[in-house]
Amino acid sequence: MGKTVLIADDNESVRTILKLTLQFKGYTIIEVDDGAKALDLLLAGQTPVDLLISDIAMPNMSGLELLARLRGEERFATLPILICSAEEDATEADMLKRGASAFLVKPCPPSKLLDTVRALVG
Amino acid sequence: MPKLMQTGIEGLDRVLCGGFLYHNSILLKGAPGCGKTTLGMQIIYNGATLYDEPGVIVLFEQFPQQLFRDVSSYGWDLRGLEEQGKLRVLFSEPEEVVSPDRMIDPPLVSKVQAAAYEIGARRVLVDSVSHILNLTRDQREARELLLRFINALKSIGLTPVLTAEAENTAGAIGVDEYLTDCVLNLSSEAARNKTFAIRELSIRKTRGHDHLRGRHVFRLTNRGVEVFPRTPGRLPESSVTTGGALARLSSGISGLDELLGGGYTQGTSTIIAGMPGTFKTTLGVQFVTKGARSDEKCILVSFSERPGFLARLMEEKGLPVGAMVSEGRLKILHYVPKETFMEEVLAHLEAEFRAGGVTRLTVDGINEIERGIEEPDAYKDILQAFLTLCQAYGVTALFTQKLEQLSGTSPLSNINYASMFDGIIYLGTLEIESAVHKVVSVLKMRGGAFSTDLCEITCDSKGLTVLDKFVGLSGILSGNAQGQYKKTVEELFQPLYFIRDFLEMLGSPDVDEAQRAMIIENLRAEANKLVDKLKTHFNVKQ
Repeated sequence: MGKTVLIADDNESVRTILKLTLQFKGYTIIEVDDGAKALDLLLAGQTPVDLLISDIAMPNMSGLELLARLRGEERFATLPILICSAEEDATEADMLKRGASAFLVKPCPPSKLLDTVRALVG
Repeated sequence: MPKLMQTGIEGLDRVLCGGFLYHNSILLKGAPGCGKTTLGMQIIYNGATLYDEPGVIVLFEQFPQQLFRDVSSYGWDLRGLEEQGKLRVLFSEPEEVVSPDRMIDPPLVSKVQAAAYEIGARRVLVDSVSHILNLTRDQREARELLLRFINALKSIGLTPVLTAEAENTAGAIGVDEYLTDCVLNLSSEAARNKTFAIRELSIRKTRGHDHLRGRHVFRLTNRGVEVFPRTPGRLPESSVTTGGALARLSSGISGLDELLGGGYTQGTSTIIAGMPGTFKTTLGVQFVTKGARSDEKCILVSFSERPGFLARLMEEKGLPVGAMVSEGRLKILHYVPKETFMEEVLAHLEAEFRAGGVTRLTVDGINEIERGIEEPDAYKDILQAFLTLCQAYGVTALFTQKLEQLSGTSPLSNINYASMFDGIIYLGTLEIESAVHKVVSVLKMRGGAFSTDLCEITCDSKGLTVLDKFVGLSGILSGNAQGQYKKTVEELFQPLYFIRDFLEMLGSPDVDEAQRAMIIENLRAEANKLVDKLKTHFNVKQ
């Protein structure tokens, strides 16, 4: 059975690229355009999510806040979270320290995204 | 250390390291009109009113009525003091210091003694002893007359304050200077950069105790003599120099704190340098109003705009300066450089700092300080005095400096004594996408990391805001600066990245026909977005 990936990004084109890249490889995609919606969806727990891919700069709730809130919940302590950002200040070391499972700099070629996603959820 | 006789003139007592020794004879010496009599009167008046030390005034030149009238302009009620038994004014002839018999006190000494005993006087002013010295051409005789008179006053238990005319010959030392214990030289000269005469005071000697060396500026104000010591007195150990990470103070400007690495480092001094009209004053005012909003005690020193006009200008920018001043949260000290000595500004600031609680200071227009200084070389010393004072009291300070025209290879080379400051912020203009923009850049900020990005800064009815950074800049100092918004460049590039990514997907062998059609549809959408963005950016209609 295909894995489910939740994509949180306020840029529609970015979501499309991620969605198509992953859909072509058999992943099921859920997409939201801000951090708060992603948190609500995960906390509701109606749809099991295997991986969260999140941007940092988003309206309502940033990716960093989303990350912190999820890592504060015991049931999401091991959820793979991939942070993708174009922010200059964001570094892999910092993101891993904050609890991310992996970090990619945007724009990221589809092949690299796929490699990272496979490494995280198979 | 014996108890000292305070003059009650704050600056003078600091110059005297506390005051005069009781029973030392004090000579106030200077040319006519330089303030000798006023200073002497003030020492007597303050003694009677502040320290419960009644005084006697001996006049040779002026009638008491004339004296009462003249000093009432300083708010001193000598007649009232006489009525309260705290003062006696004696009008005399110089000849009264001559005794017909060496065994008998001169008539004037007897009069002074009677007056002193009557009111319990501790201080006496004699204005002036030059009249005694002029009684005879025989120097030895004159010397003896004066010495006997001074000693007689001391033996009554008084501390004699004597005025004397300066010698006509430069550098000459009068006999009166040998005979007295303390000599204060007063001078008054026309000043090059000022609308008034420069008055200075220096101490030639103080027997038995120390004093601050050098010439100290003084003023005759409506409160009498005010003295501004050349060097600040004993400053406290700075509270921010010991241990721990230095706190950051918010600039009050959205976006600027991020550039500063969190705000201005506490207790540091930062120079804000820029061409006219680049928001220097607003940036400085927004810093103090930010503090005032949080009930911090803040001071704004303005060398250019008058407080009322400044308040009106700032209120248009959403900075309620007028209200903050009325509520006592912000203090504005306004000075006209041509009418001010910087020692005076420093003394006022030190008094404010000493009173406690001041956290933020903005000095608007330090280039005006240079205009207000008599000797150009003294600018650096004055600047250093400002910085030392702020550091000693842990006050975080901003100084704005107007740059006339940029030259050299960096804005830094246009800032006077830039290395003396802990922080440097440059404000300038830049031509971006066919329009002139105001820009800000942090060139230096001690105390931690900061960003050196060059960012746009704008001003509206809510004050200043720091916006996006620029990239691809060139020619900043040539006056033909050009560059692009980083955000604009990123937006132009974005569809290209997507096109690249979709093409990569299209090349993948495991994409079926339906997926291929979907990718091509997205490719077309991104290509159209790119065309639209380029048209908008370059203003192309077709």
